[in-house]
Amino acid sequence: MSQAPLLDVQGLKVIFPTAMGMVRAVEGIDLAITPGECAALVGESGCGKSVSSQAILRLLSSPPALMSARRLQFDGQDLQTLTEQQMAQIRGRKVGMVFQDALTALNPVMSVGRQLDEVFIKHCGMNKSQAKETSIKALATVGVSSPDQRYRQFPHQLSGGMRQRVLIAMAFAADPKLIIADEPTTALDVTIQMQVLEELKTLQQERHTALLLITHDLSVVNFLADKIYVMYSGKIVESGPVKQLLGRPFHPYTEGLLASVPRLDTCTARYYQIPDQVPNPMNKPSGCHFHPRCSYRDSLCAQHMPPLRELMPGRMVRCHHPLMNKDEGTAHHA
Amino acid sequence: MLKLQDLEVSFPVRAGLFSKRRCIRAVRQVSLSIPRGQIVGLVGESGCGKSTLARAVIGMQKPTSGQVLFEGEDLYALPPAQFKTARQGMQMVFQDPFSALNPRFEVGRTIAEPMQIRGGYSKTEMEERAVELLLKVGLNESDKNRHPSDFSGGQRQRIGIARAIALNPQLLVLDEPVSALDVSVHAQIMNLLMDLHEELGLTYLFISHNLADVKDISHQVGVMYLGSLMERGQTASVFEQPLHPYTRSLLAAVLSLDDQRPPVITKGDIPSPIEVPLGCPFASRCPQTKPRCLQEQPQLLEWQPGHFAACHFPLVN
Repeated sequence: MSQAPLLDVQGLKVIFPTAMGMVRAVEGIDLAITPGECAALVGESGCGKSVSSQAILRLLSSPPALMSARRLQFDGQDLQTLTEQQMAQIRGRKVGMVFQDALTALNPVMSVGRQLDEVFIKHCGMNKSQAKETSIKALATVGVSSPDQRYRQFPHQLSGGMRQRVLIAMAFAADPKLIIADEPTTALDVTIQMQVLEELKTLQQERHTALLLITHDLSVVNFLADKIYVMYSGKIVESGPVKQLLGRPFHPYTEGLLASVPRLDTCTARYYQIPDQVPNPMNKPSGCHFHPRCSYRDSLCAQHMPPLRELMPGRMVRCHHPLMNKDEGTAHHA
Repeated sequence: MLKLQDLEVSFPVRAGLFSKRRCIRAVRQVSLSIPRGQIVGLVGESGCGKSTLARAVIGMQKPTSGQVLFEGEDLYALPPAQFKTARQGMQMVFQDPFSALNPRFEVGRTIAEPMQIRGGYSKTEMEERAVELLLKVGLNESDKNRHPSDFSGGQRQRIGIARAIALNPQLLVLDEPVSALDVSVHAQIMNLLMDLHEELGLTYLFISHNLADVKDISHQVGVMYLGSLMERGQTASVFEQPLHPYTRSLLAAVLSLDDQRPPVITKGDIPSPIEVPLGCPFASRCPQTKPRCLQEQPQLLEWQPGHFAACHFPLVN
């Protein structure tokens, strides 16, 4: 962590006022990504991971969303003070985005080639013929077969994997410093997912681009990311280097998540299950949001939200009773 | 209990207004049998025909040719009245719990609807049974008066399961029952399905794109690709010693959490089901394609006792 972070977020909060009450989607999260690093923001649906990424790029329309942050710095600039026009300069050029559903992210009535050209013309100041040439090259780099033909095709003519590659080519087009990828391979088949992840990893490493990966899939995180932030009900409950954290989680929620993933390499007659379900964002439990589902809870957990503490260098945990003891941590895997 | 014989389902399509009529062969000559009380898993990537097969099994999609034998009787040759009775012995659980439930019905009514359709139940009987079912799938009695919008995805899937077992069916066809759910809820529903299987002595056809889901729950597994059954056998032998290169590449593409082995990448894209190549459907992506694979479609043969594969050059030691 000697390097200055490229993206530095501190105390990010997002609230949606609704007729039924305040929805505190994100309750003050801290994130830091250094240049070329891949950080993953992991959690189940409704935990606030996508909203956080949208808030960072100021993509949430306000009203209704209310957002605030103690610090929101990207590449030395304070994103909170920028005008909408300046933000538009950052999105696409300095920060690329890859979304889950490529079919809705692409314009259905425009050929994929022209959509890719746009990025080069707008952000790199190329003319039309230069853009076309670069686009075809870009398509080839992400593994699109016969890029000359694909250039002229429309999104509906491509398969899901191809569309996702086009999105990746677009995100990398202006050679951004950071790419935010929101569930980039969730909609894809296993064999195709592997191809796309490999392209993403190669490009990210070659170009030394930082990546913020938003996903619910821990195995994708394990493959791609250096650092992981686990989110639960609007808060970061644990963070640290991927291999370390997945190998030995300190937070009971992370432990439960890991234990409930079905695996190919082990045989189980029964899955480990975290009881109950994710709390309603309108009506979150007191104290630690996870305590009603936690098997290690006591009265303290119901009363006080634990602070995020650094238990080991680089390992932050938000828990009153972190699983520091070795045999405690493996109890569920048996 | 259930037997599929050379099942074929094809749909006529037209690529454009004036172009030639063509056929999508969604399910191509699939033969499969499910013994009573067993769980058979069916895996495959999108477009492989697994959902069409499920619809054909349950009587929602008339096959182009071939037979669906349920309890020894050809389902699609039965007269309408008997067809209806046979249909009550098999029920389906759908992938998307948000669109599978009527948003305007209270949950109790949704669960009681199959009984109402069958007839012969009094109102109190239906109500009692609905409550019993709610409790069985892990919900509360008070939930019967609430609407689907009050429930989370996992709870809705529980409601879908309660509805499916309302008439005491023998066979449940589960079409991606846990794919739309979050990790922690996923485990809960899998456990519920395993419990119900044991408790009620049900038979399952469990369809999924996720190999890990199928592995722990099934006795037997079938692997589909572009409408054809590529491999089938006991779960342990298919997962530990896959005979078909496609099964092997599917298994190799699954990312592991422990990161022991680097994942293997299968090249190429899944061909369009309209233009399924001649010969072996997997030939365009197979790492060991030989000239014969491009010309002749391999038959599903028993290479090892109880272990079938449709490959000219299976991975037998």
